[in-house]
Amino acid sequence: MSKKLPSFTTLVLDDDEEVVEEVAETIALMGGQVDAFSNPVKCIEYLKTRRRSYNVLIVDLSMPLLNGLDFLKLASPYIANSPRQILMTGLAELEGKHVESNSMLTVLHKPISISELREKLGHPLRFE
Amino acid sequence: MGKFARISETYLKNRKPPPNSLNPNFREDRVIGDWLYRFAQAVENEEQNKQQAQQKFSLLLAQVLTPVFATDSAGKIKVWNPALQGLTGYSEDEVLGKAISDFIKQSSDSFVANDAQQAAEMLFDLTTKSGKTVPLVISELGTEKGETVHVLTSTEKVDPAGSTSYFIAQNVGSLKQAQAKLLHASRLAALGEMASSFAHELNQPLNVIALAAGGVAERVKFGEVPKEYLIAKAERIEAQALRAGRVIQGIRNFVLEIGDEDIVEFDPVVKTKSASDLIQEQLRLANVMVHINAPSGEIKIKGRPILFEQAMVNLLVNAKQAMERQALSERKVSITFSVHDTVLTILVKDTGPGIAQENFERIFEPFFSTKKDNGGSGIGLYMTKSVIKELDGTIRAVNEIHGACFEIKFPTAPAATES
Repeated sequence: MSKKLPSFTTLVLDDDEEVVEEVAETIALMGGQVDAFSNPVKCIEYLKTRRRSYNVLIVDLSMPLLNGLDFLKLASPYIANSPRQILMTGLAELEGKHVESNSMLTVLHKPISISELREKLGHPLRFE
Repeated sequence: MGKFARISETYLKNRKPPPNSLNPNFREDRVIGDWLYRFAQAVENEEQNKQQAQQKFSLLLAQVLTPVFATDSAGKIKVWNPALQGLTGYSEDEVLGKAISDFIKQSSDSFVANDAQQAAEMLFDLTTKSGKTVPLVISELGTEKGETVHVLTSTEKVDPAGSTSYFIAQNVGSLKQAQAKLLHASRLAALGEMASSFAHELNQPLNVIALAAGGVAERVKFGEVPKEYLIAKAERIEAQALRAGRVIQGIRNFVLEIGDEDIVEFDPVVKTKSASDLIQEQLRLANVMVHINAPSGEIKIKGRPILFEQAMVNLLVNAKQAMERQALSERKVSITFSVHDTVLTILVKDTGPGIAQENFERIFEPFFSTKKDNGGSGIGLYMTKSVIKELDGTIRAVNEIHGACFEIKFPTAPAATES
């Protein structure tokens, strides 16, 4: 039987719409609320007008227009709190200094499994 | 020596000869005698130097592993070195004085020099003693008086000056192998630069598959799942698996051995589009927009299509790297095709900072790169020039107001589209 979980808010950003859909659906399975984007520039425009709070930001590293690390820097003034940040990457390498310099940043290497995402988010699925 | 000889010759020509033979008692005759002695000695030294040079040259021809032959202007063989003997089975004694054309079976390749066309390089098949044929590419080593002498025909008129032409030959088989290795190295270098984008390109569909399959499994475990949902997820998984497969196929095609690729007619616009597709993800992540402008009809050139595709990949990668410091919205590459008469012109323009003046002379040199710290191998543009040259084309780089432009020209195959 499903049980009521405390809701959490997540921003998901990846330039691949199908990745966005799947991550968003997984978050929804955990009972989270999702703002999902596939364009980092449009996402910043959205944040500028809303200035929302999030529990977690899940952002892709390699995107055209703006990479994930630059997005996090540019977006932070427009987010009301200091949420946890999860950087998804399909690249084989990611420079350690970027990760070390930010204790709020966790790296998830693609492909990501549901259990891995659940573990990083610290939320069980809605059905469990 | 030359000055001395001229002075002495002029003197001997214009002086009034003494009534009898040289008289050693007269100062003038002693001086003349001394001059003549020195002149004779200088001539003798010159002869010795010439002989020594000739001996060294003969020794070099005997020892060098490269096949070399020489003909007179009638095409009769005058030199046939051991390397050529090894290749053909014919010894020097067997071929000296015979016409080179007796041993040549002209290649069917269209770019072989023919009777009406002189060329710095010629391609032909040489018949060996055992009746086999060895494909050779021949370059003229040097001719007296700087003449280009055509040796493929037996109807050449004898040059009264009797000049000798030396030719170096190279087995086309080994040449093709060397070119294939170079091309392979070039593709591997490009692959190294593209490794990250390939990993990203492959992990995207794998990520969708993992989450979609995981999501279905979780829902099924804990309750009823609508059939439509299951079908939609299964279709998505299938599509993403095929997407991953295409990425792997692309990598496989990219590193394929292509040494034996045949010379065929192909459309350079189609191969340019496939070159752009090959590195699409890399270009997309770097925000590089590629515009291909081509005439509506089909264009045909003759050559090796994968070599051409690699040349275009190299130019696109070069343009992408050149624009790394440009604003994202300004990173554009335009590739324009036009045909006038029988010449195809391809202009590859980027919007980068252009080529530094001091680098113009060197950009096509092997291993020259201004991006070595950034993973540049220095093979790309060198390889591009080699490939274009092999297709009988030319390439040059110029700076324009906004960026660099590579201008490539090719002869078109018959029935090419007029722009």
